[in-house]
Amino acid sequence: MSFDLIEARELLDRGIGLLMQFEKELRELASELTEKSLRKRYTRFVLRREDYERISRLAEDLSRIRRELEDLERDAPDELEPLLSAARFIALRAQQVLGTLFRYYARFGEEPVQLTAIDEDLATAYVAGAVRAALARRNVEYEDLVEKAGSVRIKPGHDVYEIVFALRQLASVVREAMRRLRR
Amino acid sequence: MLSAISVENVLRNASGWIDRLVGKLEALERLFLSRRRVTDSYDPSDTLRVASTMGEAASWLVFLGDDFDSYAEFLSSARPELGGRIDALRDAIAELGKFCREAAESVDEILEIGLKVAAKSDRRSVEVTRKLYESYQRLREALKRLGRDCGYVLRSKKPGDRIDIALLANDVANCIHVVGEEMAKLRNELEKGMERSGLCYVARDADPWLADLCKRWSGYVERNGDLYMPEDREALVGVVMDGRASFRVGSSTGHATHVYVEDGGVRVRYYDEDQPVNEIFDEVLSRYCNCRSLSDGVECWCPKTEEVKDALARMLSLVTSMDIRIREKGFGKELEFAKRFVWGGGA
Repeated sequence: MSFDLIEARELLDRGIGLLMQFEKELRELASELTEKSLRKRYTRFVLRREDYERISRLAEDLSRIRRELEDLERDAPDELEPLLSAARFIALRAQQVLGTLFRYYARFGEEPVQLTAIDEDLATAYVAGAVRAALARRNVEYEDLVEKAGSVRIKPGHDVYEIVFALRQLASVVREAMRRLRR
Repeated sequence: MLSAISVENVLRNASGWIDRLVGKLEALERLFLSRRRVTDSYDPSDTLRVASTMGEAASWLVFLGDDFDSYAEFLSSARPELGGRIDALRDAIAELGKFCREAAESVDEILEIGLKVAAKSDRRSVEVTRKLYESYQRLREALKRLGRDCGYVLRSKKPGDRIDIALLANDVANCIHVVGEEMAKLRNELEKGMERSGLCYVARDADPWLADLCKRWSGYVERNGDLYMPEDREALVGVVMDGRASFRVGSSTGHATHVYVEDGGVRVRYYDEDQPVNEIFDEVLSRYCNCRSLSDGVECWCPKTEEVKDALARMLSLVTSMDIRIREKGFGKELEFAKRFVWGGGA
């Protein structure tokens, strides 16, 4: 085909249509991003090498605590098992969070990290159930502790600080439950 | 009694370990609180959409660039005065494609979410890499030859700087817009200096016989309006320049006819993959011309007479949607109709 002005014209028409479409999509996306960012804010954590070294030591401590609790749980009377198990579970959850942070550090180095929970965490219900089971059997007052544990939430989107904060609150509930049992 | 002692022992030991657990968690809590920053990063799924759209645009621009390349030489020869602009536009399309690719990859780079719950948190901006910077500068150079420029924020950025993703998307959109505008200008330029008559664009230097052929064809199309499928009718257009005429005779790709003034006569090249239509075209025009059927159409050599001009104009007005009519009425009836209309000079 030696010449075809018509096809050239059609090609230009097609090209113009295509470019207009991409232009429109990108402009809409740009507006959407700007608009959404005004409504929603995120948190991130600026962790340096020395922070990761500290986290590493804390992770080892948590691991040891979890192992010790596991040993105690193995030989403990049935009535104490739920509480020990709840404490071990909290230590494990904290360890998992730190493990994820380390994988991130291995991959991205000192880049600011945004670590968020993706599911509703079952730790709350686990701890509340354990407190009720252990204290009710020994006739110790437990309602306020169950309520306190029940009010702790780890929800999708919660950041690493919020997760650790919640786990610490749950651990405090378990600690208080232990104290009441010792009285 | 033994049991009570045992419980007391376990409680004491466990309390100690749980105290430690609380202590470690408090230490972590303090650490994270001190390192916590509020950010207004974009949601990764939105950022991903930006990267995908830019990437898709880059892929399509490669196809568009290839197509444009294949016509650039013809366009430059058809309108030599536009040659410089056509070359610049060709480069601009190619550079726009590369710029979109680099922009897509820059945005994509921050979406390394391999850890399910962890991701780079500064999801609001990307680094202006050297590759992104250079591809943008090359696009600007190509556009400069067209007297244009594009982008807003990226203009003030240097390699290593950061640019907000929304602003980058906006700059890319602007560059796409500018190239699109230049394509529209070129299309209008191609039609400039041409007389519009019915379905025809006729250049000033057009051969008068071909110009009249086109106008007659346009008139017959007007008269035969109810013979055509709407999409075929909308596609029809004719262009006549010096000793060449080009007709779009249907909506299918490549359904076209070229007519060249050659050696005192005219050469007609009809393009169609539909053999029954080719047979009718060949048989009907063979009364006036020396025709031969080809695998993708028919080629005829005809005298440049008034009779041939009218017959050819009539025949060209019939090939539109002829395949549909053959399917509906049958080959024989369509052939008879074509003979009557072209040979008989009837309506």
